[in-house]
Amino acid sequence: MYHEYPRLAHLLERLCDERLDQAEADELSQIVTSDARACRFYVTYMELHANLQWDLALPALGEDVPVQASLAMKHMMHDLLEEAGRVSATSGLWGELHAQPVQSPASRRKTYRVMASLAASVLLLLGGVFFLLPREHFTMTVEHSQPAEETNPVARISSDSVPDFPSVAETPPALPAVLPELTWGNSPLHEAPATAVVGPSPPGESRLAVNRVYSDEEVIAAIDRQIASGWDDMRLTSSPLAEDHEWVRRVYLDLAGRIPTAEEVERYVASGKPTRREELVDLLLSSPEFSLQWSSRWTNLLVGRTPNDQVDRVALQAYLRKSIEDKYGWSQVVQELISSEGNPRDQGAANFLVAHLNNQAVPATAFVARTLLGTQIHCAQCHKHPFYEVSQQEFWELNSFFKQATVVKTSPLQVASAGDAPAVYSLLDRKVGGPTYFETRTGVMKVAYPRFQGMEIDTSAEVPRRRELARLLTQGEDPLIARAFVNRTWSHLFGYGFTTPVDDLGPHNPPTHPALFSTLTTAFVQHGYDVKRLTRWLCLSRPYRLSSRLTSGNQADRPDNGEVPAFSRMYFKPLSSEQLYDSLLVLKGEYPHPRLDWKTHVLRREDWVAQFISSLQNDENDESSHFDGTISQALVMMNGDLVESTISPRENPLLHTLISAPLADVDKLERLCLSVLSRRPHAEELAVFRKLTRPIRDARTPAEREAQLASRLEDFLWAYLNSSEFIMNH
Amino acid sequence: MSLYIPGSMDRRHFMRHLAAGSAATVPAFGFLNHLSANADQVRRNEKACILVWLGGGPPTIDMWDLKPGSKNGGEFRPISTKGDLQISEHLPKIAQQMDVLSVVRSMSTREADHTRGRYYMQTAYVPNPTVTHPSFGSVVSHELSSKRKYLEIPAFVSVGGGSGSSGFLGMTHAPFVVDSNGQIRNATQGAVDRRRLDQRLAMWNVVEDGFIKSDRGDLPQAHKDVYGKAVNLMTSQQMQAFQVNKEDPKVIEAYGNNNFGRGMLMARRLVEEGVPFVEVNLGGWDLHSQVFNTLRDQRLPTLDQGISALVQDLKSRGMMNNVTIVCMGEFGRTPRINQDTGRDHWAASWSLLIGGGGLKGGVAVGSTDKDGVAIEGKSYLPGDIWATVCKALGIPLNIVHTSKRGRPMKIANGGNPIEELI
Repeated sequence: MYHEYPRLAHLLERLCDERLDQAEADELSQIVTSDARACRFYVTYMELHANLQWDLALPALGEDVPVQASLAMKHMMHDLLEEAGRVSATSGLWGELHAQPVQSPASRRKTYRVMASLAASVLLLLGGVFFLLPREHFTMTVEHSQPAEETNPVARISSDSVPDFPSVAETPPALPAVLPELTWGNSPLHEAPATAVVGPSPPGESRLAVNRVYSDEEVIAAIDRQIASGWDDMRLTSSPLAEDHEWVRRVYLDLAGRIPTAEEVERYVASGKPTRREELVDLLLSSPEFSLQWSSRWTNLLVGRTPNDQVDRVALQAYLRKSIEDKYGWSQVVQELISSEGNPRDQGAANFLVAHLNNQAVPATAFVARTLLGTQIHCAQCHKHPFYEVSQQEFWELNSFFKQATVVKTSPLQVASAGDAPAVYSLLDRKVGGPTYFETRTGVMKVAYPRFQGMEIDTSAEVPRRRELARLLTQGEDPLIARAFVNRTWSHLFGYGFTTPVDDLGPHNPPTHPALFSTLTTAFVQHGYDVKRLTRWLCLSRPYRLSSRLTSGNQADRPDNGEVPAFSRMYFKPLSSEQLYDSLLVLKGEYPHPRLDWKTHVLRREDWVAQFISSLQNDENDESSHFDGTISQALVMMNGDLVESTISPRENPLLHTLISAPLADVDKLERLCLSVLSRRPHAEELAVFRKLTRPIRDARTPAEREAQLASRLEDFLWAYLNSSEFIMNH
Repeated sequence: MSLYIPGSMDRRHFMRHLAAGSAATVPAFGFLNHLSANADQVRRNEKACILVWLGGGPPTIDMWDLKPGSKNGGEFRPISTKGDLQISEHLPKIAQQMDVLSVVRSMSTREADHTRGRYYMQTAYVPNPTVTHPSFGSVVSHELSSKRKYLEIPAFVSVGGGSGSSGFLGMTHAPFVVDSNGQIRNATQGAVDRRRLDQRLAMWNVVEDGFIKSDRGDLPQAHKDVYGKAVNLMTSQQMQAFQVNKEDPKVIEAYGNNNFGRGMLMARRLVEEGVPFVEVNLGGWDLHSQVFNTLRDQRLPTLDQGISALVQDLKSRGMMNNVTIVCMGEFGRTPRINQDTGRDHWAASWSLLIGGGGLKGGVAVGSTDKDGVAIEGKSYLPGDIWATVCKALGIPLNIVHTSKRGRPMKIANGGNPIEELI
């Protein structure tokens, strides 16, 4: 049936250009209604274009698009079509879309706008046909088959030397026979062969070749340059640099997982040294708090927050913590997460799989794909991916690597007192070989052999499959595990990743800054998957220093509204429940604690965090959090035990000391503000404080005076803690 | 405690005093105006929806659309009900209430992944990376909470969590997630009296407005709005609606003294108080193995008792025509029984339970073929279910919301109410 696709593609293109005549319309209708695959192709194409129209084209034209204004829309579309006519005369629609890794965001946006206008005209013209299609077509399942490589212009483009936009005009203006395939290795978005240049080099600028190791300075400069060139393309100007007070709070929260103390803020601000940012970042990266923060975050990502009696979360975190302190490199961590054996209490890395081997290792497969590789193939397990073809076969081929893995319950030593000892589990490999069997959606049994990125392994029982997978995952110049990790790290520090969602790097979801993403990934691999170094690059870049304030030049940079992030300002990052807990403890002088060991700290914190987590109780170990911005969070901040004890001078020694310190009342407020919000009080805040403390002068005894002052400071501390300024990292 | 405010000065005086004498302006607290609201008014005549969410995806072929004689039929037999349809023999109590409940047997929803399926069923939209659609409880909150000014507690309550987000409708319409034990954490002010709280809020207001004015996007204002709701709730008599333990033990027993039973009872209490949308979660339906044992011994008896007790209770209180009940999960499960005596994810042909609120009861809408693998005739999408609920709640179907980027979104994704139920 493939031979019909170029024809369908041609007809759709004609349709978009408003050049479809009656005979062609009949032919199109005939193809679409007689062939389920063609219908699926058509519907997906239409859906994609309809989405692009609303999400990318119309807002770019103006805010006010009332539903009933179809006439106004027609006019707009008419104008756009004129532009479209000019562009489509020189380049193929699909060629342009798939060559976009070398496009800047702005030119991509322009492409979208053009495409979207075409889609809109399709909708206007053929809306009737679209909605008259029988609904069954949506759910129709058709077996997947491999298209011939040469029919796919996507493959053609990526195997050429990287074309400079808009040189894609040289590629034939043909549509692909099918939607892009997900290929493990050379996805169309991968920045091609090793000989290619990396980065969209603005004209006249020297290009960096891949085969040379990037220096730290080069990587940081690449971030600055490539992010800034995006602003030019999108006609934005960036926000000014953040003030020292703002930046120091940001970097403590991101790296140490907590707010800085007043002393830490002042020390940083007072140091006029030009190297003070580098010094602080290096100090924080080498602190135990960084290891704790990083390992906490990854423990949550790898095994979730919901308790599971087979999983020893602390042991996993201990492993991750050690890995960062001993500079393992992320590739080694991934290998050990995949291939560890033994008792999860001793072998911390083993907990990852122990948590997800239930239900035929379906969750394990999905977690590895999504969390470590940034691909959402789990959807394919039961149905077709909505945007691109990824077969059930591929899901089970990855799953087959876990065929040997099993968790067994080993009884504790037989001693009299061991009656109620908790069960001991062990992650082992059984000596089994052969394929994995799975059932297609139509109930047909099929086989899948362990295969990753087109590479098969020996399927005999003697070959330990997980170790083979661990080896395959870290192969190549630009492994998925590196891309996925870079994207997550970027997202952690900047609030948004290069893709949204952060764990979906499929070809249907192009990154915002493809060249920079590629540069960072390459550099990360070159430097041995050094997590701290990657973090350092990002923290020392100029975009990381920007203020979170909107200016007249970047009002459009609003990814929270669904816009493509331009990173022209720092986006809000709501404090995680862990960051909030640690920050409250900072205010009480209990964190970092000189004597309390980190495990006790983490266990206490988990107890507190548990109130925000609901397990979704399915076999894929999903859970949801109701923390960010909810009424429950507001109640915790207003009335919760931890906040209550933080604002109580009896339970908070730091507050108690501050109240009786030999300082003016206003200076005490200043210390308080500096401790909570890392800044000095605003004039309005000082005015209210003065107003509210005026009656204190009438106090008859010093004790009464101090009690009254204490109550005012307590209330102000409460107010600061409950502010949105505190609950956001900004 | 020695407060600096003279004893005779009441709150309003204090505010005026503060505003007049201070260089700082302290805006009025709109959200504290509810203090005079009378709490003893019973609001049984208000419309509401209770969503019973079966997380994981229930095997509806074993519950609402049995296939005796088919290879896919499984172990259970159908029984007759008070309505014009048969359901599973392990739902005998619900069978006795089917005069007011109906089953839609022709759901076809194309999303068979948990996350995507949940999103689709709860919002009526398929997931899209550029916009977050509101769960339907948030839509109802958005449409009805402004018409129920007396309501001091959130208009969308989720018992047991698991619901989606309020998306572009904003955090004030997000689900308020509670446990079924009725103890709302941190909802009381502790040792601080009302006057002290007001004083704290006055300071907070100044801090909050300073940040809002610094122009950093919408989140600070949203944060402030949510606090307004939270303060309202803390001081409200309506919070008693959450306290299921205040019910007669016999009533608790009737609903089932378990999380689900208490959740259903709490739903009734909330609806009585005027809350327009309550979600009650009952998880554990992802039955890839041992489907029949688990259903017979655990899931179905719990569900049977909870739903039947709720219906009976609503009937006896004269509320049945006001309260719509929807019982569903993110999808159904494969008609084919797998090698582990389980059923896997299946979105192509499945059923859900819906009734009350003036909708027709005892009806089986649509049908599947003899093996349950395909729908015969017209099929329905989640938007059609929510459009039906809109009809029952009196929410007009021509409402169009606007996403943050100006994209118009029809309520219930433009679905149509199911004719057989109206």
